[in-house]
Amino acid sequence: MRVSENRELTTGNPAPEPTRAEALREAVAEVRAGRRDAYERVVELCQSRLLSFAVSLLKDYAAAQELTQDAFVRAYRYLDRFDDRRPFYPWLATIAFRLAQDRWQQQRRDRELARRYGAASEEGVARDDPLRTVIADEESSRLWQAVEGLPGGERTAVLLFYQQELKIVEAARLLGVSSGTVKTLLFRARRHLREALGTDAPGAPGRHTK
Amino acid sequence: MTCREFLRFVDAVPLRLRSRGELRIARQHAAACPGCAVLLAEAESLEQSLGSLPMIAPTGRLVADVMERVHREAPEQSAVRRPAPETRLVGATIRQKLGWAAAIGGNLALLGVYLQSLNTSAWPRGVLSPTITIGFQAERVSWVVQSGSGLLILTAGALLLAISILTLLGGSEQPHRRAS
Repeated sequence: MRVSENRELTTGNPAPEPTRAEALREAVAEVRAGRRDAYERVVELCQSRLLSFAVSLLKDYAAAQELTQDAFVRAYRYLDRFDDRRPFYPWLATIAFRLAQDRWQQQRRDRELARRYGAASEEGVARDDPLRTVIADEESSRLWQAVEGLPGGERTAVLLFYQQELKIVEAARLLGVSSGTVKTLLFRARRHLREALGTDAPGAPGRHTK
Repeated sequence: MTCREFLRFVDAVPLRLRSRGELRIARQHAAACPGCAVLLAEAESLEQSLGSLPMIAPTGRLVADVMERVHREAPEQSAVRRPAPETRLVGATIRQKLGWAAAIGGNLALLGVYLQSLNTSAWPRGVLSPTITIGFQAERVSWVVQSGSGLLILTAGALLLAISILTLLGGSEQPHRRAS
């Protein structure tokens, strides 16, 4: 496992690189036109971004890899339902998110069964967070730790908006909430992050009103 | 811009959603206010750091594994069988058919009530033939309201018409969500 060399995906630019988005759109159009092999290009263009999202959601590299595969296969299967007036990646990420939700539900059921029948559970077993292992510098590590500590909704909103570079409306559609809710989640997340990173301590310079 | 406005500006939404004009005004204020300058620097730094959250490179097998599963699990036709606009058209047509069926049903029910009200034997004594006077129409309405079956059919007809309107107006529902 290593940090992606495709750093252009992580620059935080307002819009994704146009050539990449264009390439993805063309590849998807080719697949819809009947060229199944063109799907390989779609997978190549989205794999790093989607896997990172899956890892962030599941915190387990093997499970995330499996989920990524499942999402790609399911997206291919239902490609005829994709509205091509919209960008492809948010639709794909939505599929991955729904699959992750299914997994969480399954895990909850398993834990419940294990608790009821006294079987050994994996709950409480510490796992290495794959993202934490690839973060080299201390500052990024602290930030990631702070993101990890956010409540679920805020964390997902931060991941979608900043890491996945989805627009507010796309993130809202994925989460099944309004754009205003996503903005609120991001607002709270930034506040919590500032607190966690110690940049919003009471009496910090600048927290004044004139 | 006051410091209070600046604070709201920095807090409310991510900076990258702000327009250049808004950012310019904020920077102008920050240049004149050391406290707000610190806040702006903090906000920009946080946004930049969040924008560079790490990405993980997949193993070299991922593409091959996905394509293998696509060939094995997804049938040939699935990706190309129906283009999206056609799917939307099919969905909309079924919905419209239901809407029109409800509309026809509703109108038939209302027509039934009207025709039944023409049955003079069911009317109060003294009314021998249909007329078009206002007084006569009032009698007819009163008969419909007083008659249990007439009222029932009238209600059903109105309900069907309402359903048809809602169905037809809601016919433009986006099919996008079905995908997931």
